[in-house]
Amino acid sequence: MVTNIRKSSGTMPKWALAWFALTLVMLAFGFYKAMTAPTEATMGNLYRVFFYHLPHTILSFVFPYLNCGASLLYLFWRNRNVERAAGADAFALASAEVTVLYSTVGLATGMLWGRAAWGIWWAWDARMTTYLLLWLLYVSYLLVRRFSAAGQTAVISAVLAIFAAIDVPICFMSIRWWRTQHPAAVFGGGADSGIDPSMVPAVLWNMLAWAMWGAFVLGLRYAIERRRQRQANAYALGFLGDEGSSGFQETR
Amino acid sequence: MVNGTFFAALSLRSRNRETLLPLVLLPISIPALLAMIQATTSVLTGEFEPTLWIKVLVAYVIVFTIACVLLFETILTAD
Repeated sequence: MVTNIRKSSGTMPKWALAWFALTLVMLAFGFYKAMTAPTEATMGNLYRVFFYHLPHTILSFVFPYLNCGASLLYLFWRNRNVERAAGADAFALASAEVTVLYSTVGLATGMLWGRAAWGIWWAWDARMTTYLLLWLLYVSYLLVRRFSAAGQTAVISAVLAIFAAIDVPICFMSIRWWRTQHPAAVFGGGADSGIDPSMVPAVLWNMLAWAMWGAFVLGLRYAIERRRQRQANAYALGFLGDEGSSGFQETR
Repeated sequence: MVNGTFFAALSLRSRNRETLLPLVLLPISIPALLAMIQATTSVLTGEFEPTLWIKVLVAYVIVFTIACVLLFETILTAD
Protein backbone atom coordinates (compact mmCIF):
# COMPACT_ATOMS: atom_id res chain seq x y z
CA MET A 1 0.00 0.00 0.00
CA VAL A 2 1.25 3.41 -0.93
CA THR A 3 1.07 6.14 1.64
CA ASN A 4 1.75 9.70 0.85
CA ILE A 5 4.10 10.84 3.55
CA ARG A 6 5.35 14.11 2.20
CA LYS A 7 8.53 15.81 3.02
CA SER A 8 7.15 19.07 4.26
CA SER A 9 9.00 22.09 5.50
CA GLY A 10 6.28 22.53 8.09
CA THR A 11 5.36 26.04 7.03
CA MET A 12 2.35 27.45 5.27
CA PRO A 13 2.52 27.89 1.51
CA LYS A 14 2.98 31.44 0.26
CA TRP A 15 -0.56 31.86 -0.98
CA ALA A 16 -1.88 30.91 2.48
CA LEU A 17 0.32 33.54 4.09
CA ALA A 18 -0.88 36.07 1.53
CA TRP A 19 -4.47 35.10 2.29
CA PHE A 20 -3.80 35.50 6.00
CA ALA A 21 -2.29 38.96 5.48
CA LEU A 22 -5.20 39.99 3.29
CA THR A 23 -7.62 38.71 5.94
CA LEU A 24 -5.93 40.79 8.61
CA VAL A 25 -6.16 43.87 6.40
CA MET A 26 -9.83 43.15 5.76
CA LEU A 27 -10.51 42.67 9.47
CA ALA A 28 -8.83 45.97 10.24
CA PHE A 29 -10.79 47.69 7.50
CA GLY A 30 -14.01 46.08 8.75
CA PHE A 31 -13.22 47.33 12.25
CA TYR A 32 -12.64 50.83 10.88
CA LYS A 33 -15.93 50.69 8.97
CA ALA A 34 -17.81 49.40 12.01
CA MET A 35 -16.46 52.14 14.26
CA THR A 36 -17.08 54.97 11.80
CA ALA A 37 -20.58 53.87 10.79
CA PRO A 38 -23.28 56.38 11.81
CA THR A 39 -24.49 56.12 15.38
CA GLU A 40 -27.80 54.33 15.83
CA ALA A 41 -30.85 56.40 16.74
CA THR A 42 -32.02 54.68 19.93
CA MET A 43 -29.08 52.60 21.09
CA GLY A 44 -26.23 54.98 20.32
CA ASN A 45 -22.83 53.36 20.09
CA LEU A 46 -24.07 50.21 21.78
CA TYR A 47 -25.32 48.77 18.54
CA ARG A 48 -21.81 48.46 17.10
CA VAL A 49 -21.54 44.94 18.49
CA PHE A 50 -24.08 44.18 15.78
CA PHE A 51 -21.31 44.36 13.18
CA TYR A 52 -19.71 41.36 14.87
CA HIS A 53 -22.85 39.58 15.99
CA LEU A 54 -24.48 39.41 12.57
CA PRO A 55 -21.50 38.16 10.49
CA HIS A 56 -20.65 35.52 13.06
CA THR A 57 -24.17 34.18 13.36
CA ILE A 58 -24.79 34.19 9.62
CA LEU A 59 -21.49 32.43 9.00
CA SER A 60 -22.30 29.93 11.73
CA PHE A 61 -25.24 28.92 9.54
CA VAL A 62 -22.93 28.42 6.58
CA PHE A 63 -20.23 26.23 8.10
CA PRO A 64 -22.68 23.52 9.27
CA TYR A 65 -23.61 22.99 5.64
CA LEU A 66 -19.97 22.58 4.70
CA ASN A 67 -19.78 20.11 7.55
CA CYS A 68 -22.91 18.28 6.38
CA GLY A 69 -21.70 18.23 2.77
CA ALA A 70 -18.31 16.88 3.77
CA SER A 71 -20.00 14.24 5.94
CA LEU A 72 -22.23 13.13 3.06
CA LEU A 73 -19.18 12.97 0.78
CA TYR A 74 -17.40 10.93 3.43
CA LEU A 75 -20.27 8.44 3.58
CA PHE A 76 -20.27 8.30 -0.20
CA TRP A 77 -16.51 7.78 -0.57
CA ARG A 78 -16.08 5.58 2.45
CA ASN A 79 -16.04 2.31 0.52
CA ARG A 80 -14.94 3.77 -2.79
CA ASN A 81 -11.98 6.04 -2.27
CA VAL A 82 -10.29 5.91 1.10
CA GLU A 83 -7.97 8.85 0.52
CA ARG A 84 -10.77 11.21 -0.51
CA ALA A 85 -12.95 9.95 2.34
CA ALA A 86 -10.19 10.82 4.81
CA GLY A 87 -9.99 14.27 3.30
CA ALA A 88 -13.74 14.75 3.60
CA ASP A 89 -13.59 13.60 7.20
CA ALA A 90 -10.83 16.09 7.99
CA PHE A 91 -12.85 18.82 6.34
CA ALA A 92 -15.94 17.86 8.35
CA LEU A 93 -13.96 18.08 11.59
CA ALA A 94 -12.45 21.44 10.64
CA SER A 95 -15.81 22.94 9.66
CA ALA A 96 -17.46 21.65 12.84
CA GLU A 97 -14.79 23.33 14.93
CA VAL A 98 -15.18 26.58 13.03
CA THR A 99 -18.95 26.29 13.53
CA VAL A 100 -18.49 25.97 17.27
CA LEU A 101 -16.09 28.90 17.28
CA TYR A 102 -18.41 31.17 15.31
CA SER A 103 -21.57 30.23 17.14
CA THR A 104 -19.80 30.73 20.47
CA VAL A 105 -18.87 34.24 19.40
CA GLY A 106 -22.42 34.73 18.11
CA LEU A 107 -23.89 33.61 21.44
CA ALA A 108 -21.48 35.72 23.48
CA THR A 109 -21.98 38.91 21.48
CA GLY A 110 -25.73 38.28 21.40
CA MET A 111 -25.86 37.94 25.17
CA LEU A 112 -23.76 41.05 25.73
CA TRP A 113 -25.94 43.01 23.37
CA GLY A 114 -29.13 41.59 24.87
CA ARG A 115 -28.01 42.64 28.33
CA ALA A 116 -27.32 46.16 27.10
CA ALA A 117 -30.38 46.56 24.88
CA TRP A 118 -33.10 44.55 26.64
CA GLY A 119 -31.69 44.46 30.17
CA ILE A 120 -31.59 40.65 30.20
CA TRP A 121 -28.81 38.27 29.27
CA TRP A 122 -31.01 35.59 27.89
CA ALA A 123 -34.62 35.11 26.80
CA TRP A 124 -35.91 31.66 26.03
CA ASP A 125 -37.46 32.60 22.75
CA ALA A 126 -37.42 30.50 19.61
CA ARG A 127 -34.36 32.12 18.08
CA MET A 128 -32.14 31.83 21.12
CA THR A 129 -33.30 28.35 22.02
CA THR A 130 -32.70 26.98 18.53
CA TYR A 131 -29.36 28.75 18.36
CA LEU A 132 -28.31 27.31 21.68
CA LEU A 133 -29.36 23.93 20.30
CA LEU A 134 -27.19 24.48 17.26
CA TRP A 135 -24.26 25.23 19.52
CA LEU A 136 -25.00 22.20 21.72
CA LEU A 137 -25.27 19.93 18.69
CA TYR A 138 -21.88 20.89 17.36
CA VAL A 139 -20.27 20.72 20.78
CA SER A 140 -21.71 17.21 21.14
CA TYR A 141 -20.40 16.46 17.65
CA LEU A 142 -16.89 17.36 18.74
CA LEU A 143 -17.29 15.35 21.96
CA VAL A 144 -18.47 12.35 19.98
CA ARG A 145 -15.40 12.60 17.81
CA ARG A 146 -13.33 12.56 20.96
CA PHE A 147 -15.12 9.73 22.76
CA SER A 148 -16.09 7.25 20.07
CA ALA A 149 -13.96 4.21 19.31
CA ALA A 150 -11.08 4.94 16.98
CA GLY A 151 -12.31 2.92 13.99
CA GLN A 152 -15.83 4.28 13.88
CA THR A 153 -15.33 7.94 14.75
CA ALA A 154 -15.71 9.07 11.17
CA VAL A 155 -18.94 7.17 10.41
CA ILE A 156 -20.66 8.05 13.67
CA SER A 157 -19.75 11.70 13.45
CA ALA A 158 -20.76 11.90 9.79
CA VAL A 159 -24.21 10.57 10.65
CA LEU A 160 -24.48 12.92 13.61
CA ALA A 161 -23.47 15.84 11.39
CA ILE A 162 -26.42 15.12 9.11
CA PHE A 163 -28.77 15.20 12.10
CA ALA A 164 -27.20 18.39 13.41
CA ALA A 165 -27.59 20.07 10.04
CA ILE A 166 -31.36 19.56 10.30
CA ASP A 167 -31.46 22.09 13.14
CA VAL A 168 -29.79 24.82 11.10
CA PRO A 169 -32.75 25.70 8.86
CA ILE A 170 -35.07 25.62 11.89
CA CYS A 171 -32.88 28.17 13.64
CA PHE A 172 -32.50 30.17 10.47
CA MET A 173 -36.26 30.36 9.95
CA SER A 174 -37.16 30.80 13.62
CA ILE A 175 -37.25 34.61 13.47
CA ARG A 176 -39.43 34.38 10.39
CA TRP A 177 -41.89 31.82 11.73
CA TRP A 178 -42.30 33.05 15.27
CA ARG A 179 -42.56 36.38 16.97
CA THR A 180 -39.44 36.54 19.05
CA GLN A 181 -37.70 38.84 21.44
CA HIS A 182 -34.90 38.78 18.94
CA PRO A 183 -35.44 41.32 16.14
CA ALA A 184 -36.61 40.19 12.72
CA ALA A 185 -34.28 39.20 9.93
CA VAL A 186 -31.95 41.89 8.63
CA PHE A 187 -31.95 40.64 5.07
CA GLY A 188 -35.26 39.69 3.49
CA GLY A 189 -37.23 40.04 6.69
CA GLY A 190 -40.20 41.99 5.35
CA ALA A 191 -41.19 45.64 5.29
CA ASP A 192 -40.69 46.59 8.92
CA SER A 193 -37.22 45.15 9.38
CA GLY A 194 -33.73 45.66 8.07
CA ILE A 195 -31.12 48.30 8.68
CA ASP A 196 -30.44 51.79 7.53
CA PRO A 197 -28.70 51.84 4.12
CA SER A 198 -25.81 53.81 5.66
CA MET A 199 -24.88 50.78 7.77
CA VAL A 200 -24.94 48.27 4.95
CA PRO A 201 -21.31 48.77 3.76
CA ALA A 202 -19.94 48.17 7.26
CA VAL A 203 -22.02 45.01 7.60
CA LEU A 204 -20.90 43.65 4.25
CA TRP A 205 -17.21 44.46 4.80
CA ASN A 206 -17.27 42.78 8.18
CA MET A 207 -19.11 39.79 6.78
CA LEU A 208 -16.51 39.39 4.04
CA ALA A 209 -13.62 39.83 6.48
CA TRP A 210 -14.96 37.25 8.91
CA ALA A 211 -15.80 34.86 6.10
CA MET A 212 -12.17 35.09 4.97
CA TRP A 213 -11.00 34.56 8.52
CA GLY A 214 -13.27 31.51 8.88
CA ALA A 215 -11.99 30.09 5.61
CA PHE A 216 -8.43 30.61 6.78
CA VAL A 217 -8.97 28.88 10.12
CA LEU A 218 -10.83 26.09 8.39
CA GLY A 219 -8.05 25.54 5.88
CA LEU A 220 -5.41 25.59 8.58
CA ARG A 221 -7.31 23.09 10.71
CA TYR A 222 -7.88 20.90 7.67
CA ALA A 223 -4.16 20.86 6.88
CA ILE A 224 -3.33 19.97 10.49
CA GLU A 225 -5.89 17.18 10.56
CA ARG A 226 -4.62 15.77 7.25
CA ARG A 227 -1.11 15.77 8.63
CA ARG A 228 -2.29 14.00 11.75
CA GLN A 229 -4.08 11.39 9.63
CA ARG A 230 -0.94 10.76 7.56
CA GLN A 231 1.15 10.44 10.67
CA ALA A 232 -1.38 8.03 12.23
CA ASN A 233 -1.36 5.97 9.02
CA ALA A 234 2.41 5.90 8.98
CA TYR A 235 2.48 4.72 12.58
CA ALA A 236 -0.17 2.10 11.84
CA LEU A 237 1.92 0.75 8.99
CA GLY A 238 5.08 0.81 11.04
CA PHE A 239 6.99 3.26 8.88
CA LEU A 240 7.89 5.52 11.73
CA GLY A 241 8.62 2.83 14.24
CA ASP A 242 6.83 2.30 17.49
CA GLU A 243 4.66 5.15 18.60
CA GLY A 244 5.89 5.11 22.16
CA SER A 245 9.62 4.81 21.55
CA SER A 246 9.92 7.75 19.19
CA GLY A 247 9.22 10.24 21.90
CA PHE A 248 5.92 11.17 20.34
CA GLN A 249 2.88 10.17 22.31
CA GLU A 250 -0.56 11.29 21.41
CA THR A 251 -2.20 12.65 24.51
CA ARG A 252 -5.49 10.90 24.98
CA MET B 1 -38.54 6.85 20.00
CA VAL B 2 -37.11 6.35 16.54
CA ASN B 3 -34.30 8.68 17.51
CA GLY B 4 -33.68 6.77 20.71
CA THR B 5 -33.37 3.48 18.88
CA PHE B 6 -31.21 5.03 16.22
CA PHE B 7 -28.74 6.62 18.54
CA ALA B 8 -28.63 3.58 20.77
CA ALA B 9 -27.60 1.62 17.69
CA LEU B 10 -25.13 4.34 16.89
CA SER B 11 -23.39 4.22 20.22
CA LEU B 12 -23.77 0.47 20.66
CA ARG B 13 -20.23 -0.60 19.97
CA SER B 14 -18.42 2.56 20.90
CA ARG B 15 -16.18 3.39 23.77
CA ASN B 16 -17.78 5.41 26.63
CA ARG B 17 -21.25 4.53 25.40
CA GLU B 18 -22.88 5.59 28.68
CA THR B 19 -21.56 9.11 28.14
CA LEU B 20 -22.12 9.22 24.43
CA LEU B 21 -25.81 8.35 24.25
CA PRO B 22 -27.30 11.08 26.47
CA LEU B 23 -24.82 13.57 25.06
CA VAL B 24 -26.09 13.06 21.54
CA LEU B 25 -29.69 12.31 22.33
CA LEU B 26 -30.35 15.39 24.48
CA PRO B 27 -29.82 18.12 21.88
CA ILE B 28 -31.48 16.03 19.19
CA SER B 29 -34.65 15.45 21.20
CA ILE B 30 -35.03 18.91 22.76
CA PRO B 31 -37.19 20.27 19.89
CA ALA B 32 -39.70 17.43 20.31
CA LEU B 33 -39.75 17.85 24.08
CA LEU B 34 -40.21 21.59 23.76
CA ALA B 35 -43.05 21.25 21.25
CA MET B 36 -44.79 18.69 23.48
CA ILE B 37 -44.51 20.91 26.54
CA GLN B 38 -45.74 23.97 24.69
CA ALA B 39 -48.66 22.14 23.08
CA THR B 40 -49.69 20.63 26.42
CA THR B 41 -49.43 24.01 28.14
CA SER B 42 -51.58 25.59 25.48
CA VAL B 43 -54.24 22.88 25.68
CA LEU B 44 -54.37 23.03 29.49
CA THR B 45 -54.34 26.79 29.91
CA GLY B 46 -56.06 27.81 26.67
CA GLU B 47 -53.92 30.92 26.51
CA PHE B 48 -52.65 30.38 22.99
CA GLU B 49 -53.28 28.14 20.02
CA PRO B 50 -51.46 24.80 20.01
CA THR B 51 -51.49 24.44 16.20
CA LEU B 52 -47.97 25.78 15.66
CA TRP B 53 -46.41 23.41 18.17
CA ILE B 54 -48.34 20.45 16.84
CA LYS B 55 -47.05 21.34 13.39
CA VAL B 56 -43.52 21.48 14.78
CA LEU B 57 -44.02 18.08 16.35
CA VAL B 58 -45.36 16.57 13.14
CA ALA B 59 -42.52 18.05 11.09
CA TYR B 60 -39.98 16.78 13.61
CA VAL B 61 -41.40 13.26 13.49
CA ILE B 62 -41.46 13.18 9.69
CA VAL B 63 -37.98 14.63 9.19
CA PHE B 64 -36.24 12.55 11.82
CA THR B 65 -38.00 9.32 10.96
CA ILE B 66 -36.92 9.70 7.35
CA ALA B 67 -33.36 10.56 8.33
CA CYS B 68 -33.17 7.62 10.73
CA VAL B 69 -34.59 5.14 8.24
CA LEU B 70 -32.18 6.30 5.56
CA LEU B 71 -29.09 6.19 7.75
CA PHE B 72 -29.82 3.09 9.82
CA GLU B 73 -28.08 0.77 7.38
CA THR B 74 -24.91 2.86 7.51
CA ILE B 75 -24.84 2.79 11.28
CA LEU B 76 -25.39 -0.94 11.61
CA THR B 77 -22.61 -1.75 9.20
CA ALA B 78 -20.16 0.77 10.64
CA ASP B 79 -16.95 -0.80 11.80
